[in-house]
Amino acid sequence: MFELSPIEIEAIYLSMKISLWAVLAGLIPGIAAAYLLARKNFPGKLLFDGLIHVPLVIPPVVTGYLLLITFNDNAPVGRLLNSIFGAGIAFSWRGAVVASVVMSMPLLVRSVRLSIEGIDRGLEEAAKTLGAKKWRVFFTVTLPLSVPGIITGTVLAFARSLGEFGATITFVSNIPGETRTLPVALYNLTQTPGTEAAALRLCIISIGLSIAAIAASEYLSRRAALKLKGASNA
Amino acid sequence: MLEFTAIKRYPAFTLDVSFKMNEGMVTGLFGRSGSGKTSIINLTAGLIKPDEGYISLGGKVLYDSRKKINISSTERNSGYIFQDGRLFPHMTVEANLRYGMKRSAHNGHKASFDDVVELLGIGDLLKRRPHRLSGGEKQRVAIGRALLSSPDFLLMDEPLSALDSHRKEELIPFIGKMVQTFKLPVLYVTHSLDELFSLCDNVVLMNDGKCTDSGSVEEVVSRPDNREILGLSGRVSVLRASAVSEKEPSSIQFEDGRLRIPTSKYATGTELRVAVHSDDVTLALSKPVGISARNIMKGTITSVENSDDGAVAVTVNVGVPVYATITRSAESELGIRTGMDVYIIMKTIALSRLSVPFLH
Repeated sequence: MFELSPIEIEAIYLSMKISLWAVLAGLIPGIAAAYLLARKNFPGKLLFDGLIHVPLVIPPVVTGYLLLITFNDNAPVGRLLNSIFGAGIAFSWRGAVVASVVMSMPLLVRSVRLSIEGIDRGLEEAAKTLGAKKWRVFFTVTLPLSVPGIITGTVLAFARSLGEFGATITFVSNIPGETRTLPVALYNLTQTPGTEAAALRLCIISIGLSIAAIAASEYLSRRAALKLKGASNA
Repeated sequence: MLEFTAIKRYPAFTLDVSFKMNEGMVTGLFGRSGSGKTSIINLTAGLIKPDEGYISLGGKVLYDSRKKINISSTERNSGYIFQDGRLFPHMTVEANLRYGMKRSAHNGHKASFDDVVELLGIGDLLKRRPHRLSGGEKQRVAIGRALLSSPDFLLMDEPLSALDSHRKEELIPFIGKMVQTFKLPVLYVTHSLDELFSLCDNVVLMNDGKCTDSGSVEEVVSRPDNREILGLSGRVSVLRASAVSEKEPSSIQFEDGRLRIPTSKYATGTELRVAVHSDDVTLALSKPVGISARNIMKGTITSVENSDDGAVAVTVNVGVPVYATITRSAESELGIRTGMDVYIIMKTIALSRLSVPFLH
């Protein structure tokens, strides 16, 4: 059958590791941002909304370059990170995680926000009249009812991270075993003559992983929606 | 005692209401849709903040714009039963019922879980999710959930309006029983006379954001000015009565007399409210004989008024005021005047149109 080469295994492993970390790191800030955008009015809301969504529309290379300017080891933020953790994030797999978080954030926030906006606020009011304080209302009513959106958003963000290329290569370059993810490895192959077969194999692996992620998302969010049947956003 | 004064301005509507309720457990808020009834409930629950006003219940101030008191909806200890139930769809019935019990833990358990489940007959539903309940079952669970949060008062926003008439009849006794058992003050929004008669001691009439009248159900419904809001075509007097004897099931009693209503569905001692429509009342100078009407009572005329449509509205005190509408020629022929003793004759069948058991 399909025997994976060490280079392919390395690329898949890196891509999965970086994407999982990106999803984990982005989940809580993403839900918080979605909640703020769905429920609160505050000065600068439009700007905040714009900042989150801007990676969706500007060229990924620009995002990567901006990250590089901000986080390189000589920039103030980069130096701060270096002094706290003893290591920077530019040109490391951690930087690839940051790039993925930034690039996938709009997708996560969008689908969680839609889900929260679809929740009947009357249910939250009911919880309040039953004596539930803000946090309890959030964790027992708002959050469980937005689970379908959280699942969809998480999987979309994961798939987006798997495919992340432009910002990654600009920010953390193409370092074997460190930042050479599936798309970067594939790009590398396309730049080398006589590697069409290997490139095609990476192509197929990439497509397979993404389709699997979307299928998992469909399955999970359907199950969650079924559990919430009768909920307004199911 | 409930004291309620609030002004709340909306773009196309201003609520400006002030009323006090002294005695009685259940206060009905009655009016057309859009008259501001639900706003009053939401203001009391703390879900809306008035522009200015004062709301207190049983001495506890919930809101005071001048002293800047505004207890949050979480802390008001209300038991709100919403029109649409608002059960949490992702929880089982049992989890819904227990949701508010955290509060009762440090609030002194007023109602035990088992008691409430039994009273409302929802024991078989505990493991189900709300989407598998009928409309009536949902509302019973919603009532249970509110009761178990050990509220200081209940707010019911047309809890029956989403149900068909069969389910309504089924649920009214539950609500009556609940009020009797838990002795909680209730604000009850409705636009149904049946519910008003069955459940409410007092009523606040609402029209276009204002309170137009308030008092006991008997007083307010009997007042001629309120006919339009109440949707009554003629004058109606409301009598409190109780069914007397099982052997004579068609006989009911009120203060000084006996009324007969053609039904055997009320057991002895059943408290009833009977609405007597002025068109169904006939006057006679002497006690009539050889007549099919069963309900004949002696009383004194307390007022005679000409109404616009050429008829004469006569009020006869038979222990309580009963209205009769007669023609002008009948008035002059009988020499009707204030202070005169007359007999009133009511067709038994007419009385049954709006006689309902009063449930607490």
